[in-house]
Amino acid sequence: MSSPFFGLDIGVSALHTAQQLLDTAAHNVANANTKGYSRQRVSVVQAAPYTFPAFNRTGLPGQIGSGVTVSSITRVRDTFLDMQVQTQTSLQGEWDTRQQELSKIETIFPEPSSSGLGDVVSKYWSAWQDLASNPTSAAARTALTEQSASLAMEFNRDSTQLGMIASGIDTQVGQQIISVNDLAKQIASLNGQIQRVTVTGDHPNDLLDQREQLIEQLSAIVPATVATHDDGTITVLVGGTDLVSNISARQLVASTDASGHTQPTWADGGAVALPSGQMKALLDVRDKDLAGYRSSLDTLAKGIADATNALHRTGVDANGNAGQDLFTYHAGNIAGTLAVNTAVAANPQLIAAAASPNSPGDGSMAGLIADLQNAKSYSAGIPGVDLVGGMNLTSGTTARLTTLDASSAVGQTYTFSSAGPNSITLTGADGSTQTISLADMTAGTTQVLNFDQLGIKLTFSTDAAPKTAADLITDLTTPGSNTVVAASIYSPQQTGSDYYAGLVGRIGTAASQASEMSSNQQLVVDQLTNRVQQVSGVSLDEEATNMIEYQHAYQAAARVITTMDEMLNTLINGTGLVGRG
Amino acid sequence: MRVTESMIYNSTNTSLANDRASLQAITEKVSSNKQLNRPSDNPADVRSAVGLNDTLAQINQYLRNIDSASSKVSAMDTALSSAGDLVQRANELAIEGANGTLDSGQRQSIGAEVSQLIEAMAQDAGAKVGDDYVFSGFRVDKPPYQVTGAGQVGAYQGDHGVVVARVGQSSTMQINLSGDAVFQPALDALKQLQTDLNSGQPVQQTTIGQISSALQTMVQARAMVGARENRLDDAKTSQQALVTTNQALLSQLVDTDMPSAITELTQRQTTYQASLAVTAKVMQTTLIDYLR
Repeated sequence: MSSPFFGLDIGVSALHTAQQLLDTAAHNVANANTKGYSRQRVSVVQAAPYTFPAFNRTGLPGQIGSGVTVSSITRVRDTFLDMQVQTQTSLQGEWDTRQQELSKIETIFPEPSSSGLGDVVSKYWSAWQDLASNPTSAAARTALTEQSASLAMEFNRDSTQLGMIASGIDTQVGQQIISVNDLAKQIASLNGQIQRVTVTGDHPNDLLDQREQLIEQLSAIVPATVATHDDGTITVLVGGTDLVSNISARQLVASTDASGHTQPTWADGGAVALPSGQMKALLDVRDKDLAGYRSSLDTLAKGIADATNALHRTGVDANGNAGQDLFTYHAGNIAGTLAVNTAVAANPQLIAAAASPNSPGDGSMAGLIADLQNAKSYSAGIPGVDLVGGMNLTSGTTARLTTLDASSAVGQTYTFSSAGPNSITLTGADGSTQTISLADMTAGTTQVLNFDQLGIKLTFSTDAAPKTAADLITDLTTPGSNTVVAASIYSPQQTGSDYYAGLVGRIGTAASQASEMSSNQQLVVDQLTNRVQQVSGVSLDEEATNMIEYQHAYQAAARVITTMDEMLNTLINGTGLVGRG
Repeated sequence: MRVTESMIYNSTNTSLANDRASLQAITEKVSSNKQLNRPSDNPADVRSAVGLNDTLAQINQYLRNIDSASSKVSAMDTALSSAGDLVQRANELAIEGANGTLDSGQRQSIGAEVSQLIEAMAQDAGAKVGDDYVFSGFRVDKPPYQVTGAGQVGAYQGDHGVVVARVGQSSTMQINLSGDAVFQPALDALKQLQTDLNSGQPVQQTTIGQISSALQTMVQARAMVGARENRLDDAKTSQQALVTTNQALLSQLVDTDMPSAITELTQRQTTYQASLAVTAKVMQTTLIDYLR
């Protein structure tokens, strides 16, 4: 038989357990809005049953329940989701930062508008045309020097602003290096605390939550890969190198590269590999996008300055002297240092509008310079790609060629057909067409046709026999002919205006892609966070229900004790009094 | 499915932020009347718009060039018209002077008028636009003919520079005429007439022939100038048509389609208000509100 006090013990265990359950519910409610908190759950088990010791089984009912006990308090967490959150946060950080930086760059090129570089360039060429119309006009000369100065200033301003974004990125990279080091130290220190708790067999729930929170912050900046160990510690790898290992944290340092920009490197040597994250986005924008835009700006500035200078030097100024350079610049930073030759700026009579001396009414040089506006002298910047070495033509009136190079326009098909006795029409995949005339060819020569609008170049080479244009057309549509036709994608030459429009288009495309990717990635992270919250988040309704449940359990346990108390009272005070009267 | 408070708060925040962002985007389109406000709004269209802006700037410049050329051509036309009248008058005087009944005194008085004509001719050749002599080729700082004395003019002082105006992306045209090509035959004829008359003899038939051939030159020059005026007018009309076309294209790319934008704005406002109303309702209550 069990002791009469045994029931009291059971009641007490129930009271304690209910108390613990309520305390945990309170902890959950208290942390309902704590970032990174995982709700905690109390695992309740029956206490070890009491087996009445006996040599043989008497009439007793075997094992007797001895109440309830708390086995552990654990947090509800899905570690697989954590891993996904880390990966996606890293990507989100990258696109978000990229979007922010590119939108800053966009504001430097406020197109389409009447205040961007495009407008200033148009006005510059217009000023030359005005001078060509009125070479004797002092006003036209002054207007031109002023417009040239505006042009130089606009290039300076754009280049400087791009430079400022680059140095802003340098500062941010420096700050992020400090953040990464700080986070690494905190994670290493938490590793130590978690290890001490874990080895005693306990669950360091709140420390684990804190550590996960830190990893999430770290993941946004640099891509962190986490490996968990049995002692509760984790190893955090960044680009294959361990940033945190047990209780030690490796440090990053900011070093300066050849072009004066901040680069992250490991304190103990070696470059940091960054497949994703905010820091990667910053470095990419600065070293790839921004550097590309600056070089395009330089190309445009150099193109305008060099072409103008070359013609201007062959001209004659209002004093009858040969023209000087109109623009000056330093080769290392063309757009940033473009300036109007101070001598010409001070004296507009030095502008060489004429082609010959003693001709005040001659504006022909100014006219030639103005015509540079539509000169196709800028390369679109796409390297040429050979499509086919020699076409194997099919019979019929049209032949097709398909791009072979996977890196270029994939699967683009061009169709050409004869558009007359000596001209070819090439049709692109999008239906755009361009017609070009063929010339007669002498033996053993080549002829190149540039389909500028389509960016395709056809090269005809003949064998020993001369070919007329009509022969070439026939050969094109006749298999097995002796004319070899090679086609390649080439970089068409553009006007300055097209080149600038291309630059604006590139910036716009990059910014709009980043913005789209950033919001898509945000969606992914939001969904994952929602799933984490679905598993680990605190539901106030649930906790309220639990509290009622635990409260009732507590009340019932207390009632058990009261009942036991009454029973003992009966036993102690009400028994053994027979005959006392 | 377990739905926790933070899920509700997070998704509420996200959707309200999204609603506000799209409301902001459409408001910008309506208030700026531009659907392209930055390159990323539609990179391809922005690219075309940058090109069109440049094209329009060029066309407007061609129109300025045409106006400038027109003022020169019309100054030339006025001068040639006046000079034509002078040669006409000289022709009449020559026929009068050829009449054998006149005495030498009468002839010399006609000669005095011819001297006036020569000076007036030099005056016409010195037509100016601004400070520039239009008949002096590139030597616009010098009058083609200087009056050196009564009825006397010096040699042609200009050169044969060809002033060209760009009136379209691929078209240029010559604006000026060299003064010596137009006025020299007339001046020579007039000088001959003057010599003939001053000699007191009847004007020679060759002189009359010279005058009428000079008149012919003058008329041809005027026809040429008239043709140039027509060409400039044509160029102007076609460039103006291009302005209209390109502006329409640009407007299509850049300008907001107001009716659809305002409809969208209304829709977005409704959506936003609905979100707010729903949020206010959902966030008010938990079980705790009902437990006593």
